[in-house]
Amino acid sequence: MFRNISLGQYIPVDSFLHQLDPRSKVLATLFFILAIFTASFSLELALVYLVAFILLILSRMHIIEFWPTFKPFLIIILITVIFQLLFIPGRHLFQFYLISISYEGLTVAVSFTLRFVLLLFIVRLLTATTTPIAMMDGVEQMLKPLRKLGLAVHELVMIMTISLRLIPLFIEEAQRIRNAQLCRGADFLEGSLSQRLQLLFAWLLPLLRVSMQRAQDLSQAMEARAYQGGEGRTRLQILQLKAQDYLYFLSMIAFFIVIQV
Amino acid sequence: MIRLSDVTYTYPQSKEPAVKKISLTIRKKEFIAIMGRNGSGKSTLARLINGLLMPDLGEVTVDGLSSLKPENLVEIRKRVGLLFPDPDSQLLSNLVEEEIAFGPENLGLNPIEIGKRVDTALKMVSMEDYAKYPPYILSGGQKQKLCIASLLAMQPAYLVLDEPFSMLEPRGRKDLLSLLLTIRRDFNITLILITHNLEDAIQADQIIMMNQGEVINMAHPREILKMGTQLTMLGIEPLELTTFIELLKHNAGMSIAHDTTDIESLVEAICHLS
Repeated sequence: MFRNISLGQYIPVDSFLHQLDPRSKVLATLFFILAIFTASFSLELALVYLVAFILLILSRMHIIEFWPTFKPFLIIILITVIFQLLFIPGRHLFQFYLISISYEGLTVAVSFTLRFVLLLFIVRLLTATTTPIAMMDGVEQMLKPLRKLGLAVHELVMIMTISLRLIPLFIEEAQRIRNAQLCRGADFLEGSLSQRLQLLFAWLLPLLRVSMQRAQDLSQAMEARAYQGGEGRTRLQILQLKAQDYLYFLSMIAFFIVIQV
Repeated sequence: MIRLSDVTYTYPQSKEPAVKKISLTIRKKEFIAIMGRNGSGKSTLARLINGLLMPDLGEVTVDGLSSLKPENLVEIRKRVGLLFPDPDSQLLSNLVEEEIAFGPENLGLNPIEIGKRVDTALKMVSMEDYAKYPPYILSGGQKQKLCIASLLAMQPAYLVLDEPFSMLEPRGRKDLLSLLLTIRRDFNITLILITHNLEDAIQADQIIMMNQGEVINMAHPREILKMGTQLTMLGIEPLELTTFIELLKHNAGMSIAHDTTDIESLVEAICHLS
C-alpha cells in the first residue's frame, strides 16, 4: 500500500549536487519552491522547468528514478484535476451532456499539475542528493540562533532524523502485518463499515505496538553508544560553505528574483 | 575488570526480579559466554554491564567505575560496547561511515580522529569498500558486522554481544564468530557472548549458566558439558557430539566422557575402550 512512497531515500551518486553543503541545498530548494508557486502560467513556468532540467543533469540522476516518488501521488493529482475541471467556472470550452469544462478550469488544472510535479521533483532531488544526517546537520546549523531562545534545536533535529530513518521500517512493518492478516482471511475491501473499521483497528494496533518497540530499541541502542544529546557532541563532517555552495544558492535566489520581475 | 556484586534488578512493570543477587567477575581479555533459556536474565545482565540499566540492589563496576554514578556512564559505555540481536533496530544512519561515526561523535572526538577510527573499524571487519553504502542494502551478516564496527570505533575494552547470530544463517554465523575471535585475539578485547547455541560458546574461557535470574553455574565449557542432559532442562540444546555420546552410553553401553568436544577426541576415546 505504502511501499512506493520514497521521499526520503538517499541515492549515492558522485555528482555536483551530491557534493554541495546541505545548507546551500536547503536554501536553494526553498527559493526554488517559492519560484514554483510565484511563476505565472506562461514562459515563467517553462523557465522553472528548464532550471529543473539543469538540476537533474547536475544530480547525474535519471528521471526514471523519480517515478516511485510521483506514482503514489497520481491519484491525488487526478482527483484534484477532476474537481478543478468540473467546478471552476469561466469561459465555456467544452460540453459533454451535463459536464461543462471551462477554459479557466483547464488552465488551473494543468497549472496545478505542472507545479505539483515540480514540487515533488525538487523535494525528492534534495533528499536523494543529501543524506538525512547531513541534511539535519545543515538544518541544525541554520537553526542554531534559535538555541538562544531556549529551543532544543539538536533534539528536534534528531527526532526528525530518526523519523526519516523509521519511515521505511514502519512501511515494511505495516505491509507485513497486513499480509499476515490477509493470509488469515481478512478482507479490507468487503464487509460493512463496522467490520472494516474493526479490521483497520486490528491492523493499526499491532503496528503501533511494533513501532513503539522499534523506537524504544533504537533509543536504547543510541544510549548504549554514549548518546546524551547535543551537548559536547562533534561531527565527522564539519560543514563548510565553499565557493560552489555560495554560487548554487545565490544563483537560485537570483533566479527567484528574475521570476518576480 | 567487570565486577557485579549482589546485583538485583526488577523491571518497572514486573513483580519478579529479572536478575537476583548476581555476583561475578569478568577479567580483561577473557572470552565469556552467557547461556540460559529465554527470560533467564541474560539480556538484562548485558544491559546492566553497559550501564543502560541501574541495579536496584548491589553494584556494577567497570574498571572500578560504578554505574550508579551518572558521571561515569559515558566512560562505561565507551569501555563496554553493547551489540543488540537485531541490526535493523540499532542502525540509525543512511551511510555506513555515518553509522560508524555516531559513537565517536558522541564522545566529542575531533573530526580527524573520528575519520581515522571509521577507517580502522571498517578495516577490522573487512568492509573498507562499503563506507559510502546505505546500510539498508547490506545483507544480514554485513549489517551485524557494521554494528560491530560501530562499537569498535569507540575503542571498547569489552564487547557484550547479545545473541548476535540470532538473525543469521549458519554460514554467516560461523563467519561472524570467527571474525569476533580474530578481533579478540588481535586487539585484546574481552568478549562477553550471550547465546543459546553451545557450539558458539565452546571456545569460551568460561560459560555462565543462568536460570530464572540467577547464575547457577560458571565454569569452563568442558565442565559445563559434563552437565549432559541437564542442559536441555535449562533450555540449552546439547552438542550433537554430546547427544551421540549419550546414545552410545544408552544403546551400546559405551561410557565416554561428556566433555569430549571434537570428533578426533571421540574416535580416540572409542578406540581406547576395552
